[in-house]
Amino acid sequence: MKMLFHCFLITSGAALIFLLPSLMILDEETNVVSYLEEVSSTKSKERKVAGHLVLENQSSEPGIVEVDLRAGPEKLSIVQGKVTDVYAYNGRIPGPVLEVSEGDSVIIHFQNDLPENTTVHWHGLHLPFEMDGSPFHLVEAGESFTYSFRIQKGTAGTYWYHPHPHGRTAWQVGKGLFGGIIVRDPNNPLCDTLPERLLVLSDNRFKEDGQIDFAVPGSKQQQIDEMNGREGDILFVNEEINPTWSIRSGEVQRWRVVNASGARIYRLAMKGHTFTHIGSDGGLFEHPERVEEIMLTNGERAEFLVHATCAPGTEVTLQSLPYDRYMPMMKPDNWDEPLDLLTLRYTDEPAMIQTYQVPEKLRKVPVLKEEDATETRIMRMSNGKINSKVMDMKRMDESAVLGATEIWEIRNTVGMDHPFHLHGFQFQVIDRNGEAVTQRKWEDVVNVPPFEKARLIVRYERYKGKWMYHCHILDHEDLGMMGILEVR
Amino acid sequence: MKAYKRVFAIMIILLGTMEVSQAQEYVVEVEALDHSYDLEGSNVIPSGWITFVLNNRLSEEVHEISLVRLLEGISHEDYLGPYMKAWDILLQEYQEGKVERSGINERVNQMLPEWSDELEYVSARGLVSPGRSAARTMELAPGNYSMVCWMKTEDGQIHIMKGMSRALKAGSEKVNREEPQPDWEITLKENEIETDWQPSLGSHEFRLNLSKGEDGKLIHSNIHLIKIEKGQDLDEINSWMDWYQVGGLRAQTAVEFLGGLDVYSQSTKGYFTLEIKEPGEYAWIVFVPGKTGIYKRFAVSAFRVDKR
Repeated sequence: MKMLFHCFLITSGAALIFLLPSLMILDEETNVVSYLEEVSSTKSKERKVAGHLVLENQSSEPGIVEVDLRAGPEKLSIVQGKVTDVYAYNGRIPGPVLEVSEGDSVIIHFQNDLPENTTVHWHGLHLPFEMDGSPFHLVEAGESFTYSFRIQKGTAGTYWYHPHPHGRTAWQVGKGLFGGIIVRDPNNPLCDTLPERLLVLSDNRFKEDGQIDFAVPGSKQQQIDEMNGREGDILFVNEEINPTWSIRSGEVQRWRVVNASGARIYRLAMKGHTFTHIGSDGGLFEHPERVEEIMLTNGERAEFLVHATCAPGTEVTLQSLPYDRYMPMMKPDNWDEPLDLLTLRYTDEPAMIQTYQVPEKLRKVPVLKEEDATETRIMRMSNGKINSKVMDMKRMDESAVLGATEIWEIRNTVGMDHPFHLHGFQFQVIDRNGEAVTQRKWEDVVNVPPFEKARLIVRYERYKGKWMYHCHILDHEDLGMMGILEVR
Repeated sequence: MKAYKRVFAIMIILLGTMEVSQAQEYVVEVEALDHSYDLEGSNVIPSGWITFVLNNRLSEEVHEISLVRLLEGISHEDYLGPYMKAWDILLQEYQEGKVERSGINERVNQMLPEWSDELEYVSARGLVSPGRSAARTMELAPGNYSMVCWMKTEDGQIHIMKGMSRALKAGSEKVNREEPQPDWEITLKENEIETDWQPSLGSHEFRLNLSKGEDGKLIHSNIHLIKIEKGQDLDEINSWMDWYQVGGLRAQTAVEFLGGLDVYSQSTKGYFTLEIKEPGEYAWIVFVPGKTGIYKRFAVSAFRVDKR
């Protein structure tokens, strides 16, 4: 209750009145923000969190989260004045947020109403192989599957879910299948009353009639998409194009960001503002970092605090700054233009007198020691292949022993970025091009720029299985830039 | 394999230290992938006599190293951008039958940037099949280079366009190494391959002697060693080696390439090393575009002779 009281004190008078009912709920270990949003949306009986609809928990038992998830074709208006044939989870793009807490048992009744096979991959979560939603466990068209797993302690953070059928991932994600996951920490080191936002970033291309524009097989565009990964010229933050959000001067908001784009890398920045970067794929850092921009590669997540340091009534734009991730011969002409993502409008209210003080220490991230590593695996990434091989579901590329600690050296041997993703296990990047990484953090995607290398350390804990590793440019993954690690 | 082991050992000592003055040999070891090069060590190397080893142990396709010297103001990105885009478009048009072979030069010149005349192809080819390694030694002037593979994939894409390229910089510091003194010589005559080499298993270093015609140009500039079947039609191989053929230098080959050399500069000498691991039928092939190649067939027995 002490921490709550601290939060209470630093909040402005108006907000205090608003918070009173929620403090009672906090004694029942319920999240304040979630509660408030539930209250505000009682008309629709839809609970929202961080700006997103939440998958409704049908279980009343503590520690159990039981939800229904359906993938199916829909007709949605996602660009103004047009109706687009999409794939959607529970009729929405992005799909509703799965909100769980460390220690929860999660049961997801999944129904595949798509006209094709799919899976649901719970990107970044540490769970049994059979529940990973990898290409090994297809859910056929018209069939259902129940995913069940436990949320492990120490994994609070931001994750996401998306399909992962081999050869069809870019298509299905491009059609609209992705959604966010928030794993909560019952002992959250940050103030629970910080307004929270989840930004699921995606991009897409549309034809004039509003239909999603995928390259024609055999066309030059297909060649470009296969090389660079398919990018769209329309950028979405959640379901909106350049939305306007509000913030009060002096306020601090906690933003969770998921890069759900198939290929685009975001360099997030807001003119005149800095961010406090507090977390990565696998949750909070040990220490916050004040930064001017945050780079987010495909599949990657970031958590940061936005400090409203401008005057009331002003506006600022969250942009993605130019980043050259492309093959030189296929670089888009406008690659060096910044792209607007959203407008943040300062309310006219007077600035908050006291603002939130970020704790100096967020949590302790366990150390994986290099001297404990029993193997170093070298992954040479070229365009479309890893170690010169195209993925073969019948071939085990690497094998390891359960409980082992290992080092992976990811070498990018070509002139464009490749984001490397490992399923099932969070890792820690040790160094890049021989230079030690300063902040110890959990990650499941590491971007490797052209001709660079990154070394990571990982421990195969708890779950045996056949785990995918791949480039998270979805077109590359579909082409077979993927391998299988068998943990026995 | 003796020669390789020796150069590898020296390379391990050299790479990372870059203490050129104490060097005897400087080896750039390159691992070929489909479709990229993985370079052990830095891409900044000294100038002088440099050995390039192309290991093709991980890939499933034939690869090569072409070295292109980029003159002042031209970058590796420029080479890959406007220059390669022109060749890529040309190849596509040619494969689709929109451009005749006789019209290739005119069409590509319409698209190539003006500076492309200033590119200097120093050395090329030396085709290496999967499972093989080969080396070549050349004298590099200080400057910026692009290391590229002009081979094509099965569906006709140039490996460079798939990512098989690397920027190299040869510094002004010169490696302390003399011109190689190989064990064997090969001399290319107008219609004949002349050599004193006794074919055998093992690693072999060669000096390639070239001659110029009355016009001052090299009569022939390349040689490759191939492992063949008895009675194999070498004209077909010569035809396959023609990049300008629609199916030329594409992924599938009827023979195995063990290495060799194509000297693009006006030098009349070239140095290369290759290894014969199995007894069998082999042939030297000098690729001659649009005509019959020059061939020299021979057999290698299980008896091993490494040196003269």
